[in-house]
Order: sequence, then structure tokens, then C-alpha cells
Amino acid sequence: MVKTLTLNLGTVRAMQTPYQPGWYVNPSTGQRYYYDGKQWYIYAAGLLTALGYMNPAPKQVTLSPGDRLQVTLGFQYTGPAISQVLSRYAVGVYGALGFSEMLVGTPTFNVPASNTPIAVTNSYVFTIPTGVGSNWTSIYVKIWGGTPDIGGSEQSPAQIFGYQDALIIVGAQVNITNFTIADFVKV
Amino acid sequence: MAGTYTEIVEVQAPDEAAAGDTVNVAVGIANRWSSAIHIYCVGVLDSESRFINWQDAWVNPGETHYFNGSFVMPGSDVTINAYSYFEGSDGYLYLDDSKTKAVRVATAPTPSITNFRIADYAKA
Repeated sequence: MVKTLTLNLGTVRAMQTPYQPGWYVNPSTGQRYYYDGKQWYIYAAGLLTALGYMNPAPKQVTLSPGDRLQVTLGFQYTGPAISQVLSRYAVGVYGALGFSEMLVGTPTFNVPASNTPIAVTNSYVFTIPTGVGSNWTSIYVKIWGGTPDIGGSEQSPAQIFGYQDALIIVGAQVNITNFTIADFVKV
Repeated sequence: MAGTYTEIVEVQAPDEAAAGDTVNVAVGIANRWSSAIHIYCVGVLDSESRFINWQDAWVNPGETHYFNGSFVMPGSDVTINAYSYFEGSDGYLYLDDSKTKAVRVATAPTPSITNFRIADYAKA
């Protein structure tokens, strides 16, 4: 006997592409997102964080309280000299709600004028505190502003890049794993 | 077109300069007469600002003398107007030749950033 399955798909509408700038809400989770015409952002804890900026870490650096971590950003640049580019370096926890910053550095730096692409770098050094969490394993950097302005703002930076699980924190907290009876024998 | 006694052979200045840059100008004036004459030069920016202000020199026949001046490039294109005068036997100055040169304001390049990344991270 053959049974017939009837599906009611309701009203089907073509997906709107490209998306228009504005706020969007995931109806299942209530999570709010913002699209500025180029980049999607997730809204959490009053901050907009760009989606898709975190990358798998190419290596893992092991750190303990008291250690110093130097993070260096880099990019290719052409254009006029720019003074006081604003930057934000962060170490923290990256998860479903985005990036929770635990350590932050906000240095400024200058960029020289160049008509051909040049490599620009800037660094910031964190000191790992005694209260470091074992899940403070991700890092990101972002830049914006300057004179003349490269665009963006702290909430919607001109450039942003991060590495997920880039750090291994040891010695921060008591950490016992694989607790078992290793053996039992007649003695 | 040369004047009767003098000729502005060239107005040396860049074709383009960025706003705020100092633009150096040299006006070369040749003596076309058969004896030395007293030449005066005036350089005016857009008929408003005189940046070569009645500089003078005695110039031998056939020789060219350069009169120098400079100005700060404004935020728009400008025209340099150069004038040569000679001093007549009556002691008066007579306008004899003129030449112009345009200087464009350089368009500021737009900042361009590519390949933004964390270049490195390591224990310091």
C-alpha cells in the first residue's frame, strides 16, 4: 500500500539578496545581528562584534601568570601618512556570545605615507595576571580612526582579526584531569 | 611671445603639488637687446598674491637671469603669472613680457589597508 505524504510549506518567498543594512533577529534564539552593508555583527553585552573575524590559531603559546605576551598586528598599506591610528588588542574568551575581553591594550601608532604597498606592524605586550582564567585562550586586534581617518569606529572597526585557541594557560588554577584508579593489585 | 627687450623663456614650477607644500618657482628672463638692461620680475599667484616682488637684476645681452620665489600650495589649482619689466632711459618701468603656468593641487591618495592580520604572537 502506498501512502502519500502531504507537506504544507506555507508561503515561500525568495531570499532577499543582497541584504539591506540594518538590524536582523534570529527568530529562534532572539539573537540580534547588525549588517552595515559590508559586514555582519553580533550584538551582545552592548557591543557589536564582527562575525567571521576569528580564525584558527596557527600555533599555541603556553603562558603562566607573570608571563608576558607580545601580539603584533600587520597589514599592507598605501596612502598618505596617518597619525594616531587607534587600536585595540584583547585577550579573552571567545564563545557563542562573541568575544569577552579580559585583558585589553589600546595603543596608538603612526603609519608612513607610501605610494607602493608597504608592510606596517605594531605590537602590544600583555602581562598575564595571577587571576588569569584557563579559558582566556583567544586574541584579537582591531584598528580604526587616525588622521586622516581610515574609517570605522571602536564598535565597527575598519579592520579586525582574531585567533581562536591561540593560548594555553597553565598554572592558573588547580587543574586535575583523568582522575582514575590507575591500578589495584594484591600486595 | 617675446617682448621687445626681454623674454620670459620659462617658468619653472611643478605641474602638481599637494596642499600645504611649498612650491618653488624660478622665472627665467632673457635679455634680447644689444646691451645690458635693468630687468624687473614680478610673480603673482592667481592675480592676488605676489610671491616674486619686483626683484631686479642687470642682465647682459643674450643672457638669461632666474628670479626665484615660493608660495604655499592652497587647496585648489592655481595659475602662476610671471611678468618682466625693463627700466627705460627715462627711469620708468615698462611691462614687456608675461607668461603663465598652471599648478594642479595633488589629490590626496585614499588610505588602503589589505591583508590585516595578527602577524605574530609570542611570549615576550
